[in-house]
Amino acid sequence: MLETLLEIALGKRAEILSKLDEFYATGPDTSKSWVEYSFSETKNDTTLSAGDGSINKKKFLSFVFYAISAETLIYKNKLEKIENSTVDIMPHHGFVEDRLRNYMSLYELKNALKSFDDYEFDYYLFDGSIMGNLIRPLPMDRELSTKIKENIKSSYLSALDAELHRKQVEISASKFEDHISEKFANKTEAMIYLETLENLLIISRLLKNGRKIVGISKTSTSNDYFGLDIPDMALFDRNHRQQGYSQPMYQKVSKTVKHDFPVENNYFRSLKFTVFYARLEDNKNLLKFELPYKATEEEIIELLNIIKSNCTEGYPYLLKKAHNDVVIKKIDMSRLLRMMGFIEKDGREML
Amino acid sequence: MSKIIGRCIGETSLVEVSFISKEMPQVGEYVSLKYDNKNVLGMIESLVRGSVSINDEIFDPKTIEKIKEIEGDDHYIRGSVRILGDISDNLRIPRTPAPPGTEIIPASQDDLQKIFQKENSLSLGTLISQENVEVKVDLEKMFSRHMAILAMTGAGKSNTVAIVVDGMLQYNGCVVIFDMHSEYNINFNNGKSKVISPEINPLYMSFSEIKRLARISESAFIQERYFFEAYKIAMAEMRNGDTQNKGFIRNMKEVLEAWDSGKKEFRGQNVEGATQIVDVINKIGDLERRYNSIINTNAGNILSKLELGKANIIDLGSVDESAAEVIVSHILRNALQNNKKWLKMGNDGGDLPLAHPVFFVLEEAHILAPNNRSTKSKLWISRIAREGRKFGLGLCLVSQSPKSIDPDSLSQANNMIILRLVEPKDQRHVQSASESLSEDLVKQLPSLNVGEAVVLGLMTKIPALVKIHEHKNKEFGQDLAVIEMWKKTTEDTKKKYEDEKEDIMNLGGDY
Repeated sequence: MLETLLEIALGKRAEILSKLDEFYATGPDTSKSWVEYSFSETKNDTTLSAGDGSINKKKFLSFVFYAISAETLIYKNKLEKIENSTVDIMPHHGFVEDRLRNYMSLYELKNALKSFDDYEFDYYLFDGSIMGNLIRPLPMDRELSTKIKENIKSSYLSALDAELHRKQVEISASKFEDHISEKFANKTEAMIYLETLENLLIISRLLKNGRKIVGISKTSTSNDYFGLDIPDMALFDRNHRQQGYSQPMYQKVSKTVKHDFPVENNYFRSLKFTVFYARLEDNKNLLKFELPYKATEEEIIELLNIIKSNCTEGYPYLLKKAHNDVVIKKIDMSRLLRMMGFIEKDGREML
Repeated sequence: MSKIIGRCIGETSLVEVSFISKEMPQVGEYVSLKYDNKNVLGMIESLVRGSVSINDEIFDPKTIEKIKEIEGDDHYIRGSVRILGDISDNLRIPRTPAPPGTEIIPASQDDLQKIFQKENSLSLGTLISQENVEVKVDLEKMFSRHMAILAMTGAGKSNTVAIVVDGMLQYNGCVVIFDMHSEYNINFNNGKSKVISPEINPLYMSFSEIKRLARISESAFIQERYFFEAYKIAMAEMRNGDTQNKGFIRNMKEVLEAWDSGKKEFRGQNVEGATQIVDVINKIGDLERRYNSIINTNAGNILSKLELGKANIIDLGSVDESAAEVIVSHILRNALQNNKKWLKMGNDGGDLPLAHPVFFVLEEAHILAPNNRSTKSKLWISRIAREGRKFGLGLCLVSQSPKSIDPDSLSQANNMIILRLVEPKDQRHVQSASESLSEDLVKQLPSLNVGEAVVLGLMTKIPALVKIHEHKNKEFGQDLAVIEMWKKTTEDTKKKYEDEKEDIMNLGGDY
């Protein structure tokens, strides 16, 4: 770090802190949307499941090496797990980040679907925002012409659907890579589009488990409650340190997503989400919940009681464990790279 | 096929491998690693048990409770194995390290029994981890390479000494125990004990020994001159039989008093009233009072009292530490000189008081061979530690304070039986004296139970964690049952009072 940066930071400290005060001074009255509630730990026969995925990559001059893992944990009296991983290389292109994120999502979701097939459980705790996955702009939607997109759909969708029925945890779209390479000039974009379709199909299959799906996010920047520059989560977190939950909001995908989904459009547009924030333990982290159905307040309380019984430090332990198990750290990447024995340069050797 | 305890992980070396396990083995357990057509024996030296989820970043017991409920006892066990050698190659250290991932299996009982069964051996106990394997050590090596028995108080030191002594007596050996607390007069399984009172004939004492008894310091050279002259005259008179049964010390005192009073001249000079003579007379008077019981002009050579097949106990319980030092140094010096002559003569020893090897057990070795001060006994202990094996003299240093033992003497004790040792300074001192005591084994010392020991050295082919046999004399070396003793004394006193009262009542009258 440059020493001048330190000087500048010291000089601007007072200004930034006063800006922050102003930031919070405009805070709305959040108490009307917040219900203080002391959750009880419901010990019943409920079986919980949770999953997470992880991706890490190393960019070399010629290619990108990546590793993906996903784990689903199922707990009822004893812990069961489903694990799936892959490693591969990918050529450089402008959409590497998005594409790999999609890969990880596919592994995580397919792993979750496999757990629905292989085990009986009452709730699947999904790490992150399900709606976020849906409302995010579709990769390659703008880059490819309508004609090409239709061509891809008509050529591969039914075959892809058949592949998905095999219920393998893999990137099924890659089965068509050779064919797409021959058929399309912009083969990478076409492949990414097909992978996007695969993701939407898988999300729809997961969401069709309806009341068993609970999306839990540790962070959120959405401001649907108060419409301010400060995210709702920050406001609730600052103003309500005791256990409780926010009055639920019901959101339809169709209101937030203007475009049509290339697959399962009617299904996605029919979905109504219940969104709320909750703190399950005093002074512990606030969490954002998304349920892909309209839930009443009683149902929310019942669900939160069940989840609390599985929480440590106010966060569902299964999710925490899945995250800790699955995460591919820098040190793990180093081990994988040593194992691969790449002699390729990454261009950063001189640093 | 044997149960797999775990598998090697990380970088392995010729002397140590780390492993991961799901089963819990025991520290001290012998294991086998089979690779490259070798069957390599190792000993588990350290074990830690951990949980990936229950780590030290959790600050709420409730969190742990929930994790434990969900994950159960999903622990990992990580340990280190010290490589001891290839069983199929006479326990030579292999030239190639074990490949990572090598299976670690329990060593077979047959292999262990072969290793611990020896000819001319002494049975110390059984393996802590495999109780059906008896540990026998090589008695010849124990004798010739000396030994140390080290432990904190109450860890089973005296019992171990008794087991070792009994093992020596089994072969009709000659053992001398310098018994600082008069506790070894017991019946051994394989021989009797013979208590020898610590009486020394000044005839056999060196000048320096008697000077030390008189507490004449090294710097008091004028006192030393008077003392030496008186010693010479008294010695000559005693050899000529002119002492008129006055005793050696008394004789020396009279010589000095004659100089002091001017009746006689000292080396042709009148030294009447010299302060230094008075000082020496006072010190001799003090010596006479204190050591009257150990100096006896009629006593024979103490070495000639030692018997084969018996535990010869030099009872030092009634003498003070400086007298004990003198007696020990006297006996060790004479034994070394005697055995040098005996072996040089190459026959039955002729008129020598000793004509066989002797094993000396030195209780409270930290007093007799202390680390930070010079004593006569330390000199001779260290000489026997260095030269003894060539002249048939073995040493066993016994101490509850290893850090206070002279490091030169301790490092000569190639064999060690280390029972529970908690004090870190003691542990470090012992480790610096023993090349075969690894860091991991040192860490085990505080966790040993009473009677459990780490056995090291040439007497055993491989280090072992041993449960020492319990000597038949179970009370031996144990603490006094003080509460019971107080109770008994109170009851006895009460009974005595009642008896006397009854006697008085029986006298009749109006009492």
